[in-house]
Amino acid sequence: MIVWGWLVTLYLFLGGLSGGLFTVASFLYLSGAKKYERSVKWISYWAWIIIAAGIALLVVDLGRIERAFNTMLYPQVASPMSWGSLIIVSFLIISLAFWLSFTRIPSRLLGKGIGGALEKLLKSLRTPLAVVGTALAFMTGAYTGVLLTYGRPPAWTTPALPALFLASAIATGYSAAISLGHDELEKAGALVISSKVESVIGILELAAAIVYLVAVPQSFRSVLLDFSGLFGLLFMAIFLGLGILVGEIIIPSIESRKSSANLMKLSTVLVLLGGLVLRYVIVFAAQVV
Amino acid sequence: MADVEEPRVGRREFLSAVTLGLASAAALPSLISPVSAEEEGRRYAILYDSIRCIGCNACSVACKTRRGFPHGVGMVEYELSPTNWVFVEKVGEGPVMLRRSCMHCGTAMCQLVCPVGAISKWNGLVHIDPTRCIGCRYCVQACPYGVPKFNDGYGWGEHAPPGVTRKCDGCYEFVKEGKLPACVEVCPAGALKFGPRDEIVAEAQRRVAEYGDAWIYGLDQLGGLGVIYIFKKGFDPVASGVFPDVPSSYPDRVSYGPVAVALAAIAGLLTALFGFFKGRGSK
Repeated sequence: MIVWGWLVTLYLFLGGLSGGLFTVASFLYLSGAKKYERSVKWISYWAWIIIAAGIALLVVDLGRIERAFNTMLYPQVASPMSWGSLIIVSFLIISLAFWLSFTRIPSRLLGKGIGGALEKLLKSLRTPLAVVGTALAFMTGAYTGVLLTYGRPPAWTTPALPALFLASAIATGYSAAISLGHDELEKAGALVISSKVESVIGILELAAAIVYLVAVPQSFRSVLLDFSGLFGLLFMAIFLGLGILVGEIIIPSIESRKSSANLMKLSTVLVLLGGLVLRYVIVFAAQVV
Repeated sequence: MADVEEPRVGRREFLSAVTLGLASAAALPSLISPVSAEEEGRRYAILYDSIRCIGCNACSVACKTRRGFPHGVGMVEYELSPTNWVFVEKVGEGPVMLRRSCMHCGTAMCQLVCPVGAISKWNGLVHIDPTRCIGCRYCVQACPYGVPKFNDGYGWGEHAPPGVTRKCDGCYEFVKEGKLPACVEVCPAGALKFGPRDEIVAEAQRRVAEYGDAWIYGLDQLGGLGVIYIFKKGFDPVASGVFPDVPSSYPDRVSYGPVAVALAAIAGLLTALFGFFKGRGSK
């Protein structure tokens, strides 16, 4: 029986993607602000938009939407979802504040007095926002997996799952981020190393996927490895094949020799598709197998 | 776009901050380690004697009647639902009578995972507050016995409003008033008994000694269950697949060591990246 469906699946994907995006934005800012200024702004913009969309999906999925704020009113030290709610809301606030610090929006909305003061404050807080936001981004990425480990399906109760989801979060966020920041990275001569790093991330994610396959019960492993079934086909062909092998390892290795914006976009599309398919397979297959 | 100032942070400071963040992330799971069974003044339990049970399902009907849930003659539901909190089914050879309902676990996973504290205990009886439940269904996913059920249909009064999760609450509000749980009250075969858990366990042991070919389930699982089962020897609900194989306590099923290792590995990767971009940025 499907208890958690598409809305939760999409949230798990978007939460990871947002965490990965913010991490890259934070690193670009902390490492060479002026060079990557435009990229930082764009990547952090998408980070908060995407986590906001993810949170909206979670709220819509609740049986009682009007009580969503109970997660803030009654925090539970023992509940992963309670911690997770606080983490993702904090992450939304921090990522939004970080993005706003690169804009004139506060003064446009609130006037030069209050808005200007807010702009100045946010600007002075950029570095702490970037650092705290990165930690929250990591927690958001890992939390999407930790959430499931307390579920009943044996395919979820392995600690290899949070590791795989975190690896996928970094992979999807990184791929999307370097596509968004392609022009500035190229201008800074950082495209080659960026592509090489993407390959390394792809190899790490592949390793995490193999560890997960080893860790799950034999019955679930058979489903994931069975090409004749829908879940096996999606996991093997789309996630492992197109997402990791083609999108994260083969195309980036080509890019590292010859820069191509189109190839990079294709790589990102495949990585994102793979990340979404991974969440779909893990969430749905575990509940029906 | 606003001017961007060079951040005033060195590699060492940044590494320290990231390490602190990652350590926090790695430590998070230990902070959310499951709660132990609550220390209560008294812990109640229900004895279910499968050998005495005749499978009439009067317990199921009585439960529905007390709660105002829909039912009728010959309409016993053999599946737990938001409006069907207990029933008896026949399983295996014999057949064996098996009560299906909340186990009122000593370490209740539903209570542990609930993000809003809507699930709590009163003297061992695990109950959901339908006015606080947000309908996230985490308890439905977490309960190893698959007991809590989400009401995605119409509401049935105060006991099963729409959009929330419901399950047997041990009739704790009625017990507070000195009444018995509805199922226990009507059992015509003496198969159900309610009382302090230590007395219920003693009664189960007495009956097992009397029967000779029986055994007890529920003494140790998940901190000790709040429903103590007596089965005839030769029937094992775990081996026959009707109950899950649960540990005596959580969190031994989940170890977060590999997660911490993965986080550390990524921290190393990011630090290397930082070093690179820092170098590029300073050129």
